[in-house]
Amino acid sequence: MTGRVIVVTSGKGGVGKTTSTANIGTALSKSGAKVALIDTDIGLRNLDLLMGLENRIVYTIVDYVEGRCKLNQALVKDKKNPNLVLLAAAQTRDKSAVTPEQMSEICEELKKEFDFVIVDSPAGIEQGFQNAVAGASEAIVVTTPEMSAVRDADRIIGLLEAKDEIISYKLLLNRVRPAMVRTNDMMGVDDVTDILSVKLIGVIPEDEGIIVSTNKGEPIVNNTDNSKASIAYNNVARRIMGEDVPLMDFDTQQNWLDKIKNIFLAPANS
Amino acid sequence: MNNTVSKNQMDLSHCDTAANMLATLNEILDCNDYNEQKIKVNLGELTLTNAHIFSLKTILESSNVTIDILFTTSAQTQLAALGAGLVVSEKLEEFYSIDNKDEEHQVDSQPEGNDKTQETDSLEKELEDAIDQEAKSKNLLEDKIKNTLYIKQTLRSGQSVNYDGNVVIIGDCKPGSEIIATGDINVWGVISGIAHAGTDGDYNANIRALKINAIQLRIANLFARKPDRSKVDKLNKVSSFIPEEARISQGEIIIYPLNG
Repeated sequence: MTGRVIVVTSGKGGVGKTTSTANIGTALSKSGAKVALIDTDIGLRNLDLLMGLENRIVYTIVDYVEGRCKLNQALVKDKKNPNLVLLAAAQTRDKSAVTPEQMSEICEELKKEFDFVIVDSPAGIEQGFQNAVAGASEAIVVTTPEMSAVRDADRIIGLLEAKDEIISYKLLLNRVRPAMVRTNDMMGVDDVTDILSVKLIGVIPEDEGIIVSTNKGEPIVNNTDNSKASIAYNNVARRIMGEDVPLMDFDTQQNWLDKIKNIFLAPANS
Repeated sequence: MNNTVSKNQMDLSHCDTAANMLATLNEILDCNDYNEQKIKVNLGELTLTNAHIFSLKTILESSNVTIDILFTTSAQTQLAALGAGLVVSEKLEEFYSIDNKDEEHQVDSQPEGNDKTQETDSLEKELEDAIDQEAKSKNLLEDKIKNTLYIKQTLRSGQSVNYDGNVVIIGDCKPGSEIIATGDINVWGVISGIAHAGTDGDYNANIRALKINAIQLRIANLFARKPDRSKVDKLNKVSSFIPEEARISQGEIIIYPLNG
């Protein structure tokens, strides 16, 4: 069996790489796939916090690379999903503790045992990014509908195109506020895809539930309340597995007040 | 020059003053091509201030060399280096053991080297090792007195203290920091990071703090973690603490309140 190695990257910080990694990974594992998450943000690790696994980390990726443990000893099992594991980054070291060659060796090793290896990349385009993409054959570029994030995503796409190993890359548009898009105060999905001309893998709406889930250390897809972000992440996971899922229609998500407003505004606009 | 040992390390332990050390450093950099390497630096017993460490770092960086790990037995130097964000170890033996390996390597690659000196070298080494071990076992038997590292600084995320002996920290240990010691760990503040006491198998080692809120506690080869859903996630802000002590009791790490 050979699994797929997917790197989640963005260039800009704070757009939701780690949140997306945690949720996509969890969603994939819930559908029965064996998933390994790798945090490559050495020195500023966060993925363990979002997964709520911080207190279980004994060995990190650096311990494995430096020969202090075996690879399966460094894999932290998830609390809920037995087929989801995390390979955590070391907090007390820096990006140079791991080389791209070692990263691709780790990915090769994990590919044998897992259906999906999802690599969380750090912000930036320096060594941390080079490490993260080293073993990957697919990439998900996360961006938000802001000019700065889109610029950085464009830069990252350029770097990914230059890498022969990356055979496909898709765009994940995060933190979209449908209401602001409707009033033309925020770039819409089409605006962003026009600029970047990359195929979309999903659109995640802004959701306060994400903040709650981050603080609790529990990915939002594990919640049963089916929030918008949770559904969107599940859809992304289904698309990764090859299912054809249409993009979520945000207009049906608007509340009754907006609907009434639209009824009154519609004739005035036309 | 005897300063040049191998490619990725630098022995400055024979320097007696900081100025001497910096001069030697420049000399070594002049005669050797370290070229963009990460090197292990041995400072021996040399006592250095923050400013010295900073100059050391800057000089190395200007030659495109970064410090992988710094070996020193001086507590002040350790502190200064930690403050500069360097990885510090005081186990000088580790430095020398790498050293030996590399030397052997070099000998291997040069088979025309003098066999006789090699033999005497290895004999001497063996003898030294035997003496070392004897001294070690004596130490263990006669006195269990360990050195203590005293740090007056809050350890923040990513900072790590690794010491052969006891550690006293005046300040907090934030989440993401780690303290690793062969002896006891005492923190005059809140431990929220990782603390590992008695690393070489001392089950009697313990961890004391004004408040133990650690994400993980390890004593010898035992391991305890914070509960997943602790109800008091944020620390209750109270002015008075009941100090706590973690020690091994019946094969488990247990935290006891120390209220007389």
